[in-house]
Amino acid sequence: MGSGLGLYFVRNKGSIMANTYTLITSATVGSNGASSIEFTSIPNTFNDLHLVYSLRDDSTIANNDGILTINGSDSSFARNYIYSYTGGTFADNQANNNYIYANTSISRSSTFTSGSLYIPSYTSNTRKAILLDNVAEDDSTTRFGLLLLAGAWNATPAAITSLKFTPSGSGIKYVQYSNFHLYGIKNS
Amino acid sequence: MPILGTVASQFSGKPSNSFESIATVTVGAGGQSTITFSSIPQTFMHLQIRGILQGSRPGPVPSGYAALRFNSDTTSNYIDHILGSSINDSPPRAYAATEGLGTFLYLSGIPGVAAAPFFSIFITEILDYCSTNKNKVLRTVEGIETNANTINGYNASSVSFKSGLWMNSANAITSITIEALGTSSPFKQYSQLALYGIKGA
Repeated sequence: MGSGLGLYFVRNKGSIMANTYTLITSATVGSNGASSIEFTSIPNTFNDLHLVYSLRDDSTIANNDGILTINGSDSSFARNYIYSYTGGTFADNQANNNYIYANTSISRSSTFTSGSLYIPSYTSNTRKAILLDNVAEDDSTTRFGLLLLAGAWNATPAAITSLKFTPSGSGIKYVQYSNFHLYGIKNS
Repeated sequence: MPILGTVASQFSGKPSNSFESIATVTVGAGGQSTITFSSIPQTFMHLQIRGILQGSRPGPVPSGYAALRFNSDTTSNYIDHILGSSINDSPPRAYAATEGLGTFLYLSGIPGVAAAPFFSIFITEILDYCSTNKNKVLRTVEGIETNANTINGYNASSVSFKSGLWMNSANAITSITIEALGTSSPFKQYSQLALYGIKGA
């Protein structure tokens, strides 16, 4: 119960703590690669979603981007981001769903992008806010990338039930050992 | 043949906690130059370290650094990239930089001199730390605010988003060492590092 002054009492009285951070599901790419990864039937029993990913695709450009699709939709996305790479550091604002930058076949071998995507209130009937941080490491000064991104999905308000990730480019696949882990966060 | 990987949630509806404390170290009154997490269990998918650090660099430069290493590897297998604001510089400026190849990964901005009795803060995540197929990549957010425009003429506050690479794909991470850099400049009392494990199954 709130105090009425913008202060809130901690209500836990020493009882068993609830499980607040729970693995929902995961996916690991096998030796044949994967042209996309999609999580369907995401339960609506959490408050927030947190996805962590370790990615590499077989494209031949430095830090290939990847497409985030929500509930089958590729429209009504926006992103504001700051990106640092060999070409410098810049910020931009774009109306698309190119959200993830992955290490590629020209990166140092066995090196995978590390990223985190957070979607609060994913079951609410409001527009969805998205926060992403993503690093593509390399032992050169020409193939690394650091990305901080604030996104929005402005489609007809609906709970998120599926998330899909697709590397950009015709025929491009995520390579073996790429993985995604989707967690649910409860706040009560 | 490309495989379309569609993964229907197999969630059973009976949640278990996926984020667990592994170990926490708090520096005592005498200070401590090196903090090591050894015998890290191989039962999690990812690791996270959350820390606050205060050093004892004598100055006049107000902030020092710490070195992070895995499995006691002191060879040139590490590289960092940084996007942030500068430290020990005045006025502050945004910058991006590459550090390495070196013998450790940097943790930046550990306040040292008496005029900067503040703690730096960082959170770093290491995915797939048990992998014997991947180099290990760190994703870090760190910052320090010393409540002063300058100390001894230097900007002593900063914030950074960083990546780090340990070029070892063959071995799982079994130990993590964080060492205060500089002669006789140990971490001060109340500095604390907490290691967490994140389950992947």
